[in-house]
Amino acid sequence: MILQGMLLGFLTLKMAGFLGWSALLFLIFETFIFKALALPLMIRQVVQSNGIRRDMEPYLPNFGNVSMALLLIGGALFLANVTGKYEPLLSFPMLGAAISSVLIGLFVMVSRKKLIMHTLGYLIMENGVYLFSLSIMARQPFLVNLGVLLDLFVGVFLMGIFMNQINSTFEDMNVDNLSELRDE
Amino acid sequence: MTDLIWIIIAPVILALISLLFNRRRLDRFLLPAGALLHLYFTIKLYGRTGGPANSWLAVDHLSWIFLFILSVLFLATALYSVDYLPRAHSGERSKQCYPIFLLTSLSAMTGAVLANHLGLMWVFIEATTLLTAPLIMFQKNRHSLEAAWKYLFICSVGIALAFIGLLLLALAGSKGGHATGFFLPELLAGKKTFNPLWLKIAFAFIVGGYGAKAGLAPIHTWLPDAHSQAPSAVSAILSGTLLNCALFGIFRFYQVLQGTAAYSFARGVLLVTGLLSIFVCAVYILRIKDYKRMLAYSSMENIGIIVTGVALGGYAVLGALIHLLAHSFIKSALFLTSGSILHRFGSKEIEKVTGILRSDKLVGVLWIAGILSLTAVPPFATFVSELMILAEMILEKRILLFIFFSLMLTIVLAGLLRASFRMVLGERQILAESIKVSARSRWLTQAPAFCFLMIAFLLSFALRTPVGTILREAAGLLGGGQ
Repeated sequence: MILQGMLLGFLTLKMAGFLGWSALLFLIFETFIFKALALPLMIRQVVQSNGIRRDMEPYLPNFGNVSMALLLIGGALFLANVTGKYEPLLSFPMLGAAISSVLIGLFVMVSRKKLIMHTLGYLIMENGVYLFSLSIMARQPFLVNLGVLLDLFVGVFLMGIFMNQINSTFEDMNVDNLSELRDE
Repeated sequence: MTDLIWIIIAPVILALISLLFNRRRLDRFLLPAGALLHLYFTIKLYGRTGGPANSWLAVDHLSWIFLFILSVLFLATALYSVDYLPRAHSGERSKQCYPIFLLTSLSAMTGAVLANHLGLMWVFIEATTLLTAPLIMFQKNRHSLEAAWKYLFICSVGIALAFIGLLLLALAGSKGGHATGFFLPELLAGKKTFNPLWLKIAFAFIVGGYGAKAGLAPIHTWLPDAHSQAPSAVSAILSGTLLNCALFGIFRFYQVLQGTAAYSFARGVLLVTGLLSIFVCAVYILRIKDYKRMLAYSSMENIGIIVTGVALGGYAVLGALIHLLAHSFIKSALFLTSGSILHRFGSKEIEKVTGILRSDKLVGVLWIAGILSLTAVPPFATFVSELMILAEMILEKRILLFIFFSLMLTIVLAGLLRASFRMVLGERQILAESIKVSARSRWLTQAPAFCFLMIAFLLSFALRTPVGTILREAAGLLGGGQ
C-alpha cells in the first residue's frame, strides 16, 4: 500500500528535485516544465479518461515489493560505491540514485499487471538514465538531449493513445489480456 | 553533403504533402515517388566516402550497403502498398496515416544509417520505433494492438538501455573531466586511450539495447508478434530494413571497439547472442502454426547468423555482409508473397493453406523458391555466405561451434521446408469468389518479389563485380579479411 498514494505526486516531486544540479537553462526547462509538469498531466489525463483505479495489482504481495525495492536500492548504492572509488569522475550519491532508479523502474515494469504502471516504470527508468547522464557529467550535445526529450514525449504520448485504444478494445487494461500472441 | 540532407528530408516533405492534401489517389502516387527519389539519391551517393570529420551525416561503404537495401526494399513496399491500400480491411483514418508513417519512417531509417554521430544515430533509431509502431497496429484489432504495444514498449526499454551504453562510452572516453565527442572519426581516432572496462560494459548495454530491436535472442519476444500482425508490406520493411538499422547501430559500436582491449570481449558477446538467436529459432520453428510468424523467427535466425559471422572475423565478415544483403531481399520477397497468400486464402495458419501451386501457380513458385533460398540451397547467395562463415569456423579450428551451427541450421531448414511443402503442395482449395487478381495487381505485388529472388541469386557472383569491392571495403571496416 505504500506505493499506492504516491502514484503521481511521487513522480512529480522526484523530477522537480533534479533542478538543483543542472545549471543549463535548457535542462531547467526540460526537467521543470516538461518532466515535472507536462508528463504527469498527460498521465493524469490518461488515468482519468480511462477510469483507472488506484490499485497496483502487483504479482507479489506488498511486503515483497517493498523489500525488493529496498534490496535494489541497497544493491545500487553498493555498486555505486564500488565504481565511485574506481572512477573519481563519478559522484557517489547521484550515481547510486541513478542506478537504483533504473533498477526500480525495471522492477516496476515486470512486477505490475496494469499497463499504466508499465508506463510509469518506464518513466522512472528514463529518469534514472537522465540522472545517470548528469552524474557522469558527459557533455551531451544539445541535439541529443533534445532528441531524448522528444522521444520520451512522443513515446509517452503514443503509449497514452495505445492505452486509450486498448481500453476501448478490451474491458480492462491489464497485461493478462495481452497474452494471446505467443508460441507454446 | 546536401545530398545527404535531401535524402532524409525528401520523404518527410512527401509525407507532409500527403498530410495536407489527404487524398487517397495522391497517396498512391506519393509512395512510389518517395521511393524513387530515395533510390536516386542512394545511387548518387554510390562510392562516396570521407568528408569533414565533424559533419553530422556521412556515408561510407558499410552504410551505403545498408542504404541500398533500404532504398530498394522501400520501392517494393511502396509498389505493394499501392495495390494493398485500397483493399485493406481498415478504417479510413488508418489508411490516411499509413503513407505518412511509412515515408517518415523511411527518412528515420535513412538517418540512422547515415548518422556520423552515435548520439544522432540513437535519436534516429528511437524515431524508427515510434514511427513504425502505428504501422504495426494498422488493422486496429485486438491482436495488432497487442503486438504494437509489446513492440513499442520492449523497444523503448531497449533504447533506454542503449542510451546507458552511450553514456558509458562517454565515461570510457573521459579524461580528467574532458569527455570525448561522439562523432565517429573522433571516436575511431581516440579509441586507443579509452578505458577498456567501461567500454566492455558499454558494449554489453548496446548489444542488449539495440539487440532488442534487431531481434537478438534474449529480448526478441516482440518480433514474431509484430511481424505477424503488421500488414505484409510493413513486415517486409520491418524484417528487411528495420532490423538492419538496429544491427547497424551495433556494428558501428563494434567498429569503435576494434583494436582496443575490449575487442575480444565484444566478439564473445556477439558470438554468444548470435548463436543464442539461432538456437531460439531452431527450438520454436518446428511447432509454429502461423506462416508469418515462421518468417519472423527465421529473421531472428538470419540476424543471428550475420552477427555470428561478424564476430568470427576473417572471411566470415564478408560472408555475413553477403548474407545481410541476401537475407533482406529474400525475406521481403517472402513477406510480400505471404501477403498474396493471405489475400487469397484469408488465413495465416499453415494448416489452413494447402495447394497454393494448384490455385495460383506463380505465388506457389515464388513461395517455395523464397523458402529454398532462405534455407541456403545452392544457387542462391545465402549458400555462398553460409559456406564462407562455416569455412572460417573450420579455418579457426572451432569444430564444436561448426557442429552446433550446422545442426541448428539443419533443424531450421527442416522446419521451414516441412511447413512450406505442406502449404504449396496438397489439395487445391476453392478460393472465395470475390478474389479476382488483376494483371496490374500481379505486377505490383509479385514482380518485386521475383526481382528480389533474382537479386539473391545474382549475389552469388557479387564478389567478382564492383559490388564485391564495396563489400570487401565494408568487411574491412568491421575487421574482416579482404
